[in-house]
Amino acid sequence: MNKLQLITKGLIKENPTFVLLLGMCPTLGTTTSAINGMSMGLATMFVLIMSNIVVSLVKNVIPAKVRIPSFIVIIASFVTVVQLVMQAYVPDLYNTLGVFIPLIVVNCIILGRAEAFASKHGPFASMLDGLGIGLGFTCSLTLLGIVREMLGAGSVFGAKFLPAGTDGILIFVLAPGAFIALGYLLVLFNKFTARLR
Amino acid sequence: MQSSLKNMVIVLGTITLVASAAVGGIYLLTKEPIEAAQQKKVNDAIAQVLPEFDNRPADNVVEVEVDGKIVKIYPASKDENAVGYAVETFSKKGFGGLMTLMVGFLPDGTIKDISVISHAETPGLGDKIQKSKSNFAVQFEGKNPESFRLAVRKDGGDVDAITASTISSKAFTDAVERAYLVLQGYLQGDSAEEAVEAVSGATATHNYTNDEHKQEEGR
Repeated sequence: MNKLQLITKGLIKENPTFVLLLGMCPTLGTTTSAINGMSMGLATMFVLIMSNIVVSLVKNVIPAKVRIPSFIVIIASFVTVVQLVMQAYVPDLYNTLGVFIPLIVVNCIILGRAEAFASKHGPFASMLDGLGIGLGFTCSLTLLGIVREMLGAGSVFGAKFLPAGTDGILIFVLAPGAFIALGYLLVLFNKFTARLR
Repeated sequence: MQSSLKNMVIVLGTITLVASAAVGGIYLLTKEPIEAAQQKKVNDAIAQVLPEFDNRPADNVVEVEVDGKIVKIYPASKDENAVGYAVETFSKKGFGGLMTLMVGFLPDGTIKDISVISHAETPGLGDKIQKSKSNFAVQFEGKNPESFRLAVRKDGGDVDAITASTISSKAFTDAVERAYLVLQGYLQGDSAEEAVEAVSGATATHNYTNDEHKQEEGR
């Protein structure tokens, strides 16, 4: 698999949200608006890239029986770093994403990539893998966020296109709307990418 | 590497040690910016809800404990004259839990402005308590709770609740009322202890009237 494929596979072929259906908890929870979805995707991507690099660097000195706890400690450290930095420099975003930031630790995409890819490949390939999967996750979350924000609040990235004082279809901003929107996006994604895969 | 007990202990120990040292380092680096960001949020909220002032209200904060939480009074002055009080208040009755508001009062008790610091209300419904989302909070401005009854109309007050968000509206009103009572207690008693007594007393009476109201409805 060449370098470019490592990056692009996360977008369609192994898209974590629409194909692997991993990390559903933050996907459904944080995509109330496009900007929230994108921020969550970027935070996850940072943790994914960094943990992939570190795991691939230390993979040879970790005894097989303690590899999972070791990976989790590495991932949790990066998540804490993201949490502290966001709290310091983007406090509003930190408040919006709230509990979902510390929950990146248990996002199965990250442990999944550490176990399935980074522990078997070199640091550079692992970084590209993290970048690819992270991009796929970010794009999916942004897309879901855009759809939900358009239908639910009548705006895109905070810019309202409905007349002031009017609401969208409220349910799409609420939890049930996340399931409905994700379901239809899955259908569309599968229809249009069936041939590509 | 081989999974012998010695290997496992050494490797896992080293990893946790390095990781905790790194996290500790980042914590020290971000400690000041985090405090500054939180302080800025409070200061912005104070500046938003009060008329112009030239002191630093955060330096003279008075903390009063009510219902197990702290209500903070920030006195503002200009040229040594009191121009108002910003009160950081809360309500536990929100639909999504705790709601924190900054309420600005003029010295005579009139509400100047209200800013939402944090809330967990439903997006699109309860979050209309924010001024950016609807005009709900505007109706409090310029009203003096002495004559303006702080309760939604359904409960016999003067507050127009948000359609389909009565609980959020009630919580908002509850927080404003708490701010008013704490401030009145502080201004009259001029000490935190007396303020608490004033509030508990007032809340008790209030509950009593509510119960009475319910009994009447029951009949």
